[in-house]
Amino acid sequence: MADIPNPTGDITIFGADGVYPAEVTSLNELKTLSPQELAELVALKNLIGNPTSATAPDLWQYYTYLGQSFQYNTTFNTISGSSETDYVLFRNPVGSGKAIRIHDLDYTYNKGAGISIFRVYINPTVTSVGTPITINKKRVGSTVAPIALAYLTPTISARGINYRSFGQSAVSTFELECHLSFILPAGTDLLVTIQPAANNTDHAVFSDWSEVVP
Amino acid sequence: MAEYLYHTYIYHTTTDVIGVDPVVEAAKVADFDTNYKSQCILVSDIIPAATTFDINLGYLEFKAKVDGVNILWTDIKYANEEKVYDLYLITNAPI
Repeated sequence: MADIPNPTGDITIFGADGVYPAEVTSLNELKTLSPQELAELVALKNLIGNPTSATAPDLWQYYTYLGQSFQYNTTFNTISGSSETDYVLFRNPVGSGKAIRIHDLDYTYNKGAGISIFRVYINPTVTSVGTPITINKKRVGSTVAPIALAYLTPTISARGINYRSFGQSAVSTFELECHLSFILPAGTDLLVTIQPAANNTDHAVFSDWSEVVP
Repeated sequence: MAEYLYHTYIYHTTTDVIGVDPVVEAAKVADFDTNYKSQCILVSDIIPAATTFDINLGYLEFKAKVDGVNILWTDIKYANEEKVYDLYLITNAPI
């Protein structure tokens, strides 16, 4: 390397390939960054900084960073009998202006034996919506308000289209992973039912989603 | 030898319970607490054997089994669970 003609000015030093910059190590030695190191530095910068759609590790994290991701949790409720019970009504209201992109839908029950059945229906006929469930923000403190509505124990006259059915053993959790690809447009209802394996078992349902302009 | 396990349950706590009428359930609990509970045997749990026939009944059906002649309330076992009283009657023959 030639002598530096003006040592007080800003100087960019490249490695032998003339492309990748060099760095000064803690031992005051010049070290050229490899392409791998450079990529890692860029990734680290993106993690520290505000993600964009291009730099976020995935779309879920990007929506969450923007405050557009939400969740509900029913906590555990005891179901008295063992017949199919209308448990949660999840709604994207008519005219919301947003599409709900479900990231995951989860079900757990905490005692008993046997297999309980967890079913998901689209667009049931709703007689009464039930008890409101609190919607929480995935980015705590975000100013973005959710448009989705969730209710416990709705009254349903017809359950609609059976989207999925799953059997689940006790003391375990089932996660229906949708990766934002289960999309509910405005005016869509989703019903979750539970058919307990036995009487007096405790069940909980929780879900995460993002709300985006369709 | 086979056993017959007659079982019913009533909710003494109806918070976060789906599928019961709290008023109706409270009446059942009051009936049991007032008239029968002190005569029954408190147990932690019942674990049915492999040769046990488990028969679930409603509270009124269960009460009808306790005729005061062949079956007494002192024959009844109950467990005080988190939200329910589980009532059990074990017999060697169906009744």
